[in-house]
Amino acid sequence: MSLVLARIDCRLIHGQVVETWVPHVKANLLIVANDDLAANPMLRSVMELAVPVGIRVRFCRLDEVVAAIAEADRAGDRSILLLSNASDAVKARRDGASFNLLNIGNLHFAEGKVQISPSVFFAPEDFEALRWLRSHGVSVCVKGTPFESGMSFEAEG
Amino acid sequence: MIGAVVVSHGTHATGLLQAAEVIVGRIEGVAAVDLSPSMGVEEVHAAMEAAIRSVDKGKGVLILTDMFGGTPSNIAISFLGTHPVEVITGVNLPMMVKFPYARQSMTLPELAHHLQECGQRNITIPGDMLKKKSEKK
Repeated sequence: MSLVLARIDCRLIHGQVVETWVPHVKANLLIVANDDLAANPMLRSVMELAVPVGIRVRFCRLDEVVAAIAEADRAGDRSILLLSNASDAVKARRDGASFNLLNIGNLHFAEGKVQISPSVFFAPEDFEALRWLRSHGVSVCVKGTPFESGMSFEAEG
Repeated sequence: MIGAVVVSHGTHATGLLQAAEVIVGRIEGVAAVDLSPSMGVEEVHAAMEAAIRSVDKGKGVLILTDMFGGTPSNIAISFLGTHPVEVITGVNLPMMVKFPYARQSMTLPELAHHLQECGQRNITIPGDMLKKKSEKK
């Protein structure tokens, strides 16, 4: 299994991911599935600058996630899948992305959201997405870095 | 486990440690020493010695100071030879963030050299990097 971490993080590639999760799960590939980035070469270039030598990045549209994971599988990569929000995670999973554990690291605050952890805030549609994921065999764990105990929501049924 | 003491002027040391912990989570075995203008040399020396002792777990202590030539560095250097320390100057956030992982597999001198390289490499002008990238294409 080449997908070693699936994570929701509104910041996508940043310090926490590069400095803690990459070494923790010994990843060599970041798959960033995000339609905005896939359409914006400038933003991609800027984000790529933050990636250390030896780690590759594959940017793709959401509807390319399954193909990107399969390709990483064939190449024997250890990959981290990064998604920017919960509805993208639902979409990826619905398309057949093979993760049964989903990490939520950062979902920024906005008016009307409920605080789940210091860096994670849920809107009503996030709770909805979480329910859908759990009822489809996905356990969800809210934590920023690998060393926190975090908060788990087990898969149901 | 190698310990660390971060020493700087004002509240920079405490702030830098806090900033690093926002990124990588809690870092064990690190003490911050903040220098206020009212502190005398003996007081700073005593505070640093207490900090070194509090984080020394037998593998040595890395003292990270803000600026070569400044008081924190000058006093840190005075511990070389008498205490199991290495001193590195010009500490920045990339070095602090690298520290907890790097210390797991390195000796104290290796760690100091690794962080020196990392701190220097991370001072960048992204605009130039982007220009170089687009020239390559």
